[in-house]
Amino acid sequence: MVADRFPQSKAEALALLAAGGGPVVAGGTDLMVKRRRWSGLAPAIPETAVYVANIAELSYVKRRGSKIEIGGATPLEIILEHPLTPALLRGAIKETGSPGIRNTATLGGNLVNASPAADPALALTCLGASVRLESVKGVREVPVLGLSTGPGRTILNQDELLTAVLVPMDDGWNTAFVKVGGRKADAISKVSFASAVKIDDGIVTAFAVAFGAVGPTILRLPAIERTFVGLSCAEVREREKDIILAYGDVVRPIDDQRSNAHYRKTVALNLLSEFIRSI
Amino acid sequence: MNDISASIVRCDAAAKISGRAAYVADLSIDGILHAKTVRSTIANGTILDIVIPPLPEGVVIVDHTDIPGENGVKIIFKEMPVFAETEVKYIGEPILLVCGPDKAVVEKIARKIVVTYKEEPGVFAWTTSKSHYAYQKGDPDHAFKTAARIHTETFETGYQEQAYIEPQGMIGYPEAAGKITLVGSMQCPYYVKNAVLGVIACDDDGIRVIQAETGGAFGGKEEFPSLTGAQIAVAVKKTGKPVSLIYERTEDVEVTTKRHPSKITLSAALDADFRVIGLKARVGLDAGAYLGLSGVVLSRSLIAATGAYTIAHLSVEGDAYCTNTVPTGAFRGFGAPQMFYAIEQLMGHLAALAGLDPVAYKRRHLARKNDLTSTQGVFRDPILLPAMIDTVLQRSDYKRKIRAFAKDDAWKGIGLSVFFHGCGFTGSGEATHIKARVRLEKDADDHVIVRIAAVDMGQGSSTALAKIVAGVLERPVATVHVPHPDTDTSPDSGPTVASRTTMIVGGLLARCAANLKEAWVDGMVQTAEERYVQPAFITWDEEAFKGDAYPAYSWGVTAVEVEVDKRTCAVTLKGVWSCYDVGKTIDAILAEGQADGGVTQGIAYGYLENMEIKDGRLKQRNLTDYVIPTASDVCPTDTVFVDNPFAYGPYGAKGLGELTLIGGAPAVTAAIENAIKRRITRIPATPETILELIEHGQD
Amino acid sequence: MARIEFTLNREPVVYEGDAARRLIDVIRDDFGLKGTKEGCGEGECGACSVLVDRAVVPSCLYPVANVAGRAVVTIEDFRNTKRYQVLQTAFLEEGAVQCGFCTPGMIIAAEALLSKDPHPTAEEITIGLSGNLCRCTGYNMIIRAILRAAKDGDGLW
Repeated sequence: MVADRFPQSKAEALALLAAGGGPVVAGGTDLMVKRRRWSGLAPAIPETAVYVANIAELSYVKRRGSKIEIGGATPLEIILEHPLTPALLRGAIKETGSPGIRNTATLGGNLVNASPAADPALALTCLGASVRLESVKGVREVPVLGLSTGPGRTILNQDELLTAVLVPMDDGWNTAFVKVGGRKADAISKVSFASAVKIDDGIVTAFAVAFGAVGPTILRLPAIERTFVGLSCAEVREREKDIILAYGDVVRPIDDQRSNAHYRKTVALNLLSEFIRSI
Repeated sequence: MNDISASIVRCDAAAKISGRAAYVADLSIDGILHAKTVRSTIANGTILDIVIPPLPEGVVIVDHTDIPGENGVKIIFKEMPVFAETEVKYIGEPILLVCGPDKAVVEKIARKIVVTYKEEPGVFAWTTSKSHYAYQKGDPDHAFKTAARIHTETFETGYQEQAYIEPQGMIGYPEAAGKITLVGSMQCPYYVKNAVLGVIACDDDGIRVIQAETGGAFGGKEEFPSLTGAQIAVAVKKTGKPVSLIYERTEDVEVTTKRHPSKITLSAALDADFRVIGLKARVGLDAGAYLGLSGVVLSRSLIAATGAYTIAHLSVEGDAYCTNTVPTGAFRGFGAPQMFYAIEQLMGHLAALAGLDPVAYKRRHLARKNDLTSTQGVFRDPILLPAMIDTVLQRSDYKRKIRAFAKDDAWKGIGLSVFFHGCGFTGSGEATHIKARVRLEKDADDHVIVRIAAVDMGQGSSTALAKIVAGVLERPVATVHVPHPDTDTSPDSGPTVASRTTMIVGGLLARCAANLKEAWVDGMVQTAEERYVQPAFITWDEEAFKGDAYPAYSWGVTAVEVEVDKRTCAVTLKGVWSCYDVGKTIDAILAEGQADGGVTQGIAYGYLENMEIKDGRLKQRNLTDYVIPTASDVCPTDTVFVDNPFAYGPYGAKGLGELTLIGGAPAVTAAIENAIKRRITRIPATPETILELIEHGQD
Repeated sequence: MARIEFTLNREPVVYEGDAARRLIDVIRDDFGLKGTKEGCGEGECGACSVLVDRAVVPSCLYPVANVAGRAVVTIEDFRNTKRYQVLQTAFLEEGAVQCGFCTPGMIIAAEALLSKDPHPTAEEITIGLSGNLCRCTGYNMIIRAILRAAKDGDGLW
């Protein structure tokens, strides 16, 4: 029974999930709050939960070909301090929660929690990262973009575990992450923006922008982005107005207890403008 | 002791740092029952039915039918029930407690209780005034008739949550002969005791109240613990067992008192020189569902109508309105922060109208010694504001910055506020309502125990008062002890409110210590007592709002520098400079702590802390959504205290704790206005508000 | 019913119970260590900070399952160290304590910060403390205390 509850390896965790176990608990920083009960009582997490934070083989940062591979259960603070971590992801993690939260929360948990305001997930979306989803039946690799289908919802099957994140290295890219929270630290994003652009000899060869907290999922639109590839920097800058118009149609935030739709939209587009002008 | 201000290590700090200090949630009693409150889920209506599931053994429901005495919590009136009977007036109003030894069982029962209501539309508009005051000075009608021009503006302020880090908590247990003892996180042990006496309907010695180590209060633990104390006392009475009621953060934010939202309309009558010759003020406060202390809060707002300025002709009136929302109450500053925000903003806007620098304009109006106060009392003591303003201008480099920022393309700004705090209770409250008593008990080892009801809730009063007593006795501070108040052993020296502890209680203790010193015999057990006697010069007509509203005034000047991000409208604090006159600081480091903490809360009130309500339900209900400053949000502060001893204060000390908060909001707001070149009339000036002003605001 | 072995304040301990229980409840209720405080219950305030394998974590949202095999240190053990003495002196001298409810958590966060970076700048301290709310001090005196501890305790971290 004890061994069942605390898998020591990825294989054990997958077996537990295959047997109907769940939910997966990684750092617990989101789940423990969502399911909390009266102080002193255990949060409403069933006995079938699969605890993965202590599975050593799921906690690492390493190079894998042209990508950086990060284990699904790697704490954010480890990633923040790792020399291989891409700058954009590092920038996003730096502004996620507090040291205590970063020591506890994992990268996989941040993705599977599927908050549109998640900062690491925003950076990963912008960088075109993918995740490895594993079950006893097999492995699939899917882009981070599309992993979430709405707040708290993902495409993961019940028996799947997010075992790794594969991040393209961003050397040679110009990247930026801007978080707008209710205060300077330890805040949930009211709106956030990530950008990554690659320029070779004055020509834009890659272009990505992503917005957080402006819709039910993190927003990235490859179809719009593709239209800039191959243009000169000056040509992209000249199109600032059109770009803002194009994104203005799809950035559709809401009012809530942290901000309002108008502010979120205006600031999101301000940040986009600033980025376009900086190209 | 050469200089009382020379700081010593505070006496309670080591226990707190090491985790040994016991707060109420840290106390454990065998067999204690855990209480959970079942609350109204509607803002207005009547309870039709309460269905309680079968109760397992040991689980007890405590509601209004269990109250032996009156079902009303004495605050000023007794209009707030301990437990709702049929009417419910706000979301979160307590209906009953479920008490039991097993939290899981208690929670399950509480969840299964079904309350059905007949719901009425909630009243959220400010239509029902439950407290109204008005006063005049001079001939305001004439001033407005003869004015060269009249300028009118309306200012609004939002809720502010005290956000003490320790949530509210109270435990109670039975003692012999039916006596009930309450231990809790609180500011005013005798408020709790007096409220509970009426609810339990017992003799004076039937209730004992002990203050546990208190993890911050800021006014939030002034009147609210009277409610939880009454509930727990009823539960102990019914069950005969110890009972504990410890709030969690969400519950605490949702149902405890907070700072009153306000709407303040000010009309200034100006002469041809743009000098303010008359002022009309119309103040509205949202009291929430029950009046509580709101009338007193309103009175402090109104008395502060002229800010730190002398205005000859005044017409001031205001109302506290009841609405179907969570009751508001005491919070550091107690009505003054709203008023000072409004008057300081107005003065800044009038300066712009006059084409003058705001500081120069404010200087023209400053109150001076022997001027009549707003209520026609007299400022009897020297007022050092001109020199204090100079100090802040110089240390902040204000003049250079304001010129440089005018030319700078970046949104940089600096603003300065001038303010006071009336120390102690309003008017003759000390003499007529409080009648404070203190006692010193000397043991055979010549150690002295200070018996008072004033609590140390973090402000350091136990250290400050020990210093005062030790200083007068000329004995080592280590031989003077200030235990947590216990109503069985501590006389009622009054509540820990109104910045009165050092000045009033400390003043009494100084006199008491002088008597003890006079009678001192080494090695003998001795006691000395002292009662408050009002200085003869104070005259106050409560009805007419006329006379000396306060025995003394503390003064302050605060400058704040900000930079506003053009992309996000986010405000970054770049500098905070303050100069305070609190008579005399009793301990330099304690005073600096009050200054730093107060100004941080005050500034955050102005630009950061946002709490909104819709249909009676708060939108920000925890510390994730109700954002208070982190270490990353503050900037270094520069604080100067000037000496200006007050004859009736111990060592010349006046009030300190509230003063430091008051100037924060107007200073930061003026700085933001300076940065964005827009007029702000509503706080908090959040980035959302700033964006709106940039798009639609007035210069 | 789970069985979880870990070390608490350098003693090996065994926990038997619900694996989802919050570490703070296990520390306070099962082991009676009341120096760890609950201020918000959702990882915002840091009053519940403890060290897990020398890193600061909010024990109010840390499932006890996750401490299996790890070393948990609370203020009750840390206060027996030389580092603590240096921090305590600095907090006392600099006036970094008012109501005290956040203080044990602040000390734990300071220890974690100094362990990683023995000579932090004021700005690095603000980042290190960004998960620990204090409503009394406005933080500056706490920041000063940690700067002082770093200096006075040179070589200890």
